[in-house]
Amino acid sequence: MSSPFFGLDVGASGLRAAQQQLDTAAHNVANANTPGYSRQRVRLVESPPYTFPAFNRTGLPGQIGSGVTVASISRVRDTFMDMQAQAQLSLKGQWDTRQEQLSKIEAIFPEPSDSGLGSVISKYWNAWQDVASDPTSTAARTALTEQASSLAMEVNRDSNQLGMIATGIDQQVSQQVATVNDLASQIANLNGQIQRVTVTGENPNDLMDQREQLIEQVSAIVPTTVLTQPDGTTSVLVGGVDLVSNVYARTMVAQTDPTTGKVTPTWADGSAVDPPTGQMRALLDARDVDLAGYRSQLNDLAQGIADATNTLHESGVDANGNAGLAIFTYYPGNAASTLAVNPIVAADPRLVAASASVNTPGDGSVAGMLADLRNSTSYTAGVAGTNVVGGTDLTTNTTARLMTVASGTAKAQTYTFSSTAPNTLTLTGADGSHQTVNVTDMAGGTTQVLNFDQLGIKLTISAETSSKAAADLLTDFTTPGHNAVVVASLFTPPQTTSDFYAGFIGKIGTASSQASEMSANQQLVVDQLTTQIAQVSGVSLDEEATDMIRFQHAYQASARVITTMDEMLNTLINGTGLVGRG
Amino acid sequence: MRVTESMMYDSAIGSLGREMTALQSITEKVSSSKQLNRPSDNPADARSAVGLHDTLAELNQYVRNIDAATSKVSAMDTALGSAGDLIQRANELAIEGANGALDSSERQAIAAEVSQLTEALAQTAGAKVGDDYIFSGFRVDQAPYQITGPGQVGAYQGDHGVMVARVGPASTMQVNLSGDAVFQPAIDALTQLQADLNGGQTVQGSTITQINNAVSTITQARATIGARANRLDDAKTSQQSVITSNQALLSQLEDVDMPSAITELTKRQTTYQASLAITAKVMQTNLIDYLR
Repeated sequence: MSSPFFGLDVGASGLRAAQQQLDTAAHNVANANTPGYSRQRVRLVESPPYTFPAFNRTGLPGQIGSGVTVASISRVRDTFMDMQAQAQLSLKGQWDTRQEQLSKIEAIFPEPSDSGLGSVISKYWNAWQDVASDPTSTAARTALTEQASSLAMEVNRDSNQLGMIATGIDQQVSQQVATVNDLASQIANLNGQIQRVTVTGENPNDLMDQREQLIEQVSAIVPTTVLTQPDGTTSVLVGGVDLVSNVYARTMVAQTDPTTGKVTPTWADGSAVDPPTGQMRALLDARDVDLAGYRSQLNDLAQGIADATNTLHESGVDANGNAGLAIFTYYPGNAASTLAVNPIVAADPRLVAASASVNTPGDGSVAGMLADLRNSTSYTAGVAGTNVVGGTDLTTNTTARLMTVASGTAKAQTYTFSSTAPNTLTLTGADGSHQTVNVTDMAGGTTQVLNFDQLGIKLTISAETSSKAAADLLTDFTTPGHNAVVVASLFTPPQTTSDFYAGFIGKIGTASSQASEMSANQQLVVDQLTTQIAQVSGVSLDEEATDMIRFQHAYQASARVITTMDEMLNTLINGTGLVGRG
Repeated sequence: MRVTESMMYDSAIGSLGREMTALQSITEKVSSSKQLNRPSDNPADARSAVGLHDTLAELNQYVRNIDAATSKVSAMDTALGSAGDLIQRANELAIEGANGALDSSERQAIAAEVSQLTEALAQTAGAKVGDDYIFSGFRVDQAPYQITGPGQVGAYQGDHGVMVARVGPASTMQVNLSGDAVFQPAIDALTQLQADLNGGQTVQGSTITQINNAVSTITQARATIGARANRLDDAKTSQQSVITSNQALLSQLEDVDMPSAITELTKRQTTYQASLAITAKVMQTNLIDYLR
């Protein structure tokens, strides 16, 4: 038989349990909006029952319950979903960051519009048309050099803005390295605390929540693999390297290239951190793949236009009768950011070489060839030998055929002249493609056009004062040393400036729209996971309110049990043994 | 399924955010009246639109080129018109001079007028557009003919440069005529006529033939110029119609279909307001409100 005071202890254990449950509910309610918080539950078990030691227990009712014990307070958490969330957060971080960077890039090229780089290029070609229409007009020449200047400045501006985005990325990478280091040391610190609590057999619920929260923050930057150790600590691996192991955190270093300022994340031992996903990957990709690609394309665009312009312009003659100078200057490898108009030409519009020969101020044929570059994929880059092809012979002006070559869509290669039959001229490309055309005698003052249409090359033999026999023309063409035309393409692969630029804009648009879509999709995936995690671990206020009432009732009931026990003892102590008294 | 507050808040924030984004995007379209505001709005269309902008700039330039060529051609037409009048007058004088009844002083008087006509013809050949002589080939800085003395005209000073106008993609047209091809026969004929008259003889039949040939050269030249003016006109009309169709194409790519965009905007606004109202209602209540 148990002690009459036994029931008081049972009631008290109920009070303690209910109070603990209420405290936990209070903790849950208080943390309802704490990020990463998992609701906690008090696990109750019956206290070990009493069995009275006796040799013969048949008359006894058996074991007697001794109340309730708080076995543990544990968090409700699905660790599998945590792992999924970490992976998906890395992807979300990656696409969000990528989208952010690409929309910055896109903002530099607000196309389609009448004001961007595309329209500046259009206006540049148009300016050459105006010079071709009216080569003696100072206004048209000045407009041309100004338009060339606008083109150079616009390309400079775009290239520099891309450069500024790259610099911004360098700063962000440095910042992220610092953030990862900070988070890693916090995780290592929490590992230490968790380890100390775990060895005592308790559950460090809140510390574990905090740690998971920190790991999620790391995962958004660099993808992590998390291994939980038996002592409660976790190892956080980044690309197979343990960022955090037990209570130690490894340091990530932002290596800055002393010349370019480019920031690369490495480990302290110098080995590269090469995260496959996450914000850092997005930043590195945006800088090293996208921006580098766009800047290189912008360089190609600037260099293509500048080289073609300069080559054709140098084959022309300016208003002073001198050979044309380069219109554009740039540093190779940095064409877009260094493109500028030759200051000598900019200062004197007479130096625009619109004509093909001296003393022909009304001749705008070279300006016309430059204007035709708009629809060209290639242009005549030069000739083997001297003073035969391309513009005029300024040295002797006697034997040379004054020719202009419009190569528009010709394949970029060297073409050689030959003549196998009388009055025919054959042009053969290095790849073997060839075409033969007839050459006729030329009367003084007339021109002749040799149209190698299958090759995309058109030769105009300019007029001379005296007549010239076809045989003499052929001799001039086929004399070794000056019998070849070199055709270069503006861009690789061959395409027109407009196609190149439209393709460039298309690429930027596609990358940006893909990033937006992926970012939105990834948001949905993360939302879904967050919902699933919240389903399991989130605090429901309705649930807690219900629990509070339940626990309150349990508390009241336990209190009532104690009161009842008290009354029973009162009866026993104060009301017993008074039989027969007055 | 267990539903918690944070789920409700998160999903409310998420869906309100999505509604806002959609609303903002349609508002941008309506207020800019463009559906392509940046390349990523529709990369393929943006690419085509960038190309079309360039094409339109190019086509408008052809119209400018045609206008420039037209002003040259019409100046040439005017010059050839007066040259035609001059040579006609010379023809009349030649026929008059061929009359054997004239005495030498009368012939001298005719010769004096022919001398004036010759000088006038040289001046007509020196017609200019802006500062450029249009009958000098590429030597636009040189008058094609210089008057070297009374009734005397020097040799042709220009060259045979052919000015071309770019009137369309890969389409060019010759603009000018070189002065010596047009005016030389007339000048030669008038010089001969002067020589005949001043030589005290009747005007020779060969001189009259020469004048007639010069008349037909100028008439032909004028016909050529007239034909060029027509071709330029045609080219301009055709470029303008290409411009119009390209503009329509660009508008299709770039411009917003207003009625449907505004309908969409209204729809989005309604959806957004509904989301707000529902969110507000749901978030107002929980069990705590009912516990006393």
